[in-house]
Amino acid sequence: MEIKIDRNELFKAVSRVQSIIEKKSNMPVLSTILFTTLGADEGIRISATDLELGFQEEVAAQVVQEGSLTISGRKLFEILKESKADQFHISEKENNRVVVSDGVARFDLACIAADEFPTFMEPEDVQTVSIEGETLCEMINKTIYAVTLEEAGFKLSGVYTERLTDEKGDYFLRMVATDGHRLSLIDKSFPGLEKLDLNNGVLIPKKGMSELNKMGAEGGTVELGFKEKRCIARRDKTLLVMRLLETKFPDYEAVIPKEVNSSVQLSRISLLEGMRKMLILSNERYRAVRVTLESNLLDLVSTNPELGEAEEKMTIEYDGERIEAGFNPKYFIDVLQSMESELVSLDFSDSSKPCILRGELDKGFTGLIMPMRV
Amino acid sequence: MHRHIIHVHIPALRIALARIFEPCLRERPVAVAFPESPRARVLSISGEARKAGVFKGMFLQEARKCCPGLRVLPPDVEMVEQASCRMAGIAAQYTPLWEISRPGHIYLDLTGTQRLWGAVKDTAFCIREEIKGALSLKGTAGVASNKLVSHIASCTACHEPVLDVDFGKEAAFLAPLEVSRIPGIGGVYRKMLMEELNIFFIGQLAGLNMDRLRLLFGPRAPVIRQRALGIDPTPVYCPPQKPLMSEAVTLPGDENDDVRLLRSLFRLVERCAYRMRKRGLVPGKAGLLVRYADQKEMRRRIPLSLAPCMDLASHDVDFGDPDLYHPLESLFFQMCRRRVRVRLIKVWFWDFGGKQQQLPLFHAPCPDRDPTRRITRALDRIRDRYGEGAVRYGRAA
Repeated sequence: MEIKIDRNELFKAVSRVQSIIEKKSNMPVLSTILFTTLGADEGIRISATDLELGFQEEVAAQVVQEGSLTISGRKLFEILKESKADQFHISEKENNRVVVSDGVARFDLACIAADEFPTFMEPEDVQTVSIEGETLCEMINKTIYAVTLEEAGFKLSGVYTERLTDEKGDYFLRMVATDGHRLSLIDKSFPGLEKLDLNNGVLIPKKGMSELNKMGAEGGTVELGFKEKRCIARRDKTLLVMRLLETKFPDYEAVIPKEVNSSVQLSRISLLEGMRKMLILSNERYRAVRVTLESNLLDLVSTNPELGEAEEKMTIEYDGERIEAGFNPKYFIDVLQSMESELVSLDFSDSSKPCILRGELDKGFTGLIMPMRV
Repeated sequence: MHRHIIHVHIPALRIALARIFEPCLRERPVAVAFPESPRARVLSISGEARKAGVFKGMFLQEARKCCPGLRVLPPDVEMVEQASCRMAGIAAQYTPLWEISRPGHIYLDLTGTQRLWGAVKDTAFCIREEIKGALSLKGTAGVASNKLVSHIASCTACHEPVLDVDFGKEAAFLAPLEVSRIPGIGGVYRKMLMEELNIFFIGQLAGLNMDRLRLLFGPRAPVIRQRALGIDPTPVYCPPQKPLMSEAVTLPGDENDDVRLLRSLFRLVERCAYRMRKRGLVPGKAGLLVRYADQKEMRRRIPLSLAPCMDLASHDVDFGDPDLYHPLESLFFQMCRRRVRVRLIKVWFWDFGGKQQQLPLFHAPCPDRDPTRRITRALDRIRDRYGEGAVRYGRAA
């Protein structure tokens, strides 16, 4: 195989797959990128996988000789980063060697035979739905922070995605994430959801969601589909295939309080800044912030016997009964950062039930944070 | 405002305490050392023993040859600790800034308390008298503007109970004293100064310029010069107030049977665990002390990795007795390797982090499914009702 390719195009594609390729793996081929020619004038296809996640992108290139080869993803990225040339020349040599040259420097790299690269399994006849990249990013950004890679009783290292219907019978897509202490949920409706093969909910891994987020952030529309325990996302000339997690997601609806005793509205930015200030004194052992609601006042107190005490009072409109509960300020910061509304509502049931966060501009979003025993 | 530091000194605390219980030891040469060890060194001596030529650090065999009537006492850490705690209690009534530097030595920072307690010298006298009244221990007190001078003053005050060194007269007070009174001038420097350089007194040392002191003491010269001039900026370090849960047992007879020793260890752990559960404390670290019949001690600490569950209904922290016992059992076998009988076992737990607990959103794989924890809770209920001794564990072969 021999190609000539624009440096910027290649650098963009190779940078994109850095988070997918395995840095440390028992299978060395997983740390490589597969280059396959598509035809004399059709450019090349770049593929990378970690067996759970597969990525393909078609890039324009001048194909001198057809074929396929693998190159270490990390090394190629470093070479491209250091080079200032406009064009690169990549050619395959005998004995599993690849020469990468920018006209000034020449790298003779060891490579692995292309046929050792794992087969890219893309399900056929997948029914997809078009989602605006912006909407997809919003859904992911408002849920992904609650995903944990640690086991919290359940293995919840993914975002639960399901298709539901509202009272009118219209379909909407729901994404839910939890780490066992907090939960974030977002509902969005868009046309074509009925076509999706999504009768039961699926759990998309965190890494896959991050890649999907990157795809959505590039703009335009993303075609999303599910089939055979895989999630497929396609945008222009890029394709992402993710293997879904088979863990059972807990009954999240049961933990969302149906009734609330007290509700208060306050400025999101003020609360976010207040929580950030409280975080200054918290550490691994003393991380709780005591939140007190009483007669038009919200009081945040962070006490750390090793460092001292911090307090901030905010004026709010509240004349209900006194509420006092401890919370991890980090959880509040994560939720508030992901929201867009100027005013957020905090709903409390009691000191052992979760606090619910919602905002007017964050339609369909619900954030739940469990209190701490202080 | 210059500082007012009091140093209270009880000479040879272990011997002073022994003389309370055994009056026959009074006015007799007494030393503290491990009596059963052939290579033991003398740890502490009475004034009578010093007059007979015995000194600290001397081999016990030599000390006995030097002073045939020498009565040797084994160290008693527990008794000394108890006395130190009582002394600290008295000191704490006068100031929150007190520090026990070692047994029998206590510093008090009384800066700015004259309006409350009166002249510092009088307060020092009161403290000394209070210790004498409560513990029957005679001591001396030194009052000065820093720890170094107050310490030297209290150790110098042989004929008067309290020695007060006025602010600004520290150098003059130290000048006629032997150079070896300065901390940091030990055997080697003492010999060099006194035998080779004819420098006998602190005043002579203070008179040397910095270049000469650098030749003698190298990089430590500035510190030695400060000390020779009676300057010491060291603050009185308050004792760290860390909560601790401890239990100790002195075995009825010295014991080397592992089964019996482990039984005692388990009971200590069980008592601590029950109390910690009641208070909602989850320890992060544990310590184990084993004292042998020859008074030698082994002390080790380990981090604990407890993963406490919490009962949402009662807010009780839930960990079993075995969760704490097993790490300590392993530690016991690691450290208890001498072929000497054991006399005392002590366990303690600290670094509590159980007060702040994140509540779970899902009531999932939780406590009720774990039979050990269920049993622990049931046993705790029995203890609550019938007392701590109502439950005894047994081991089946």
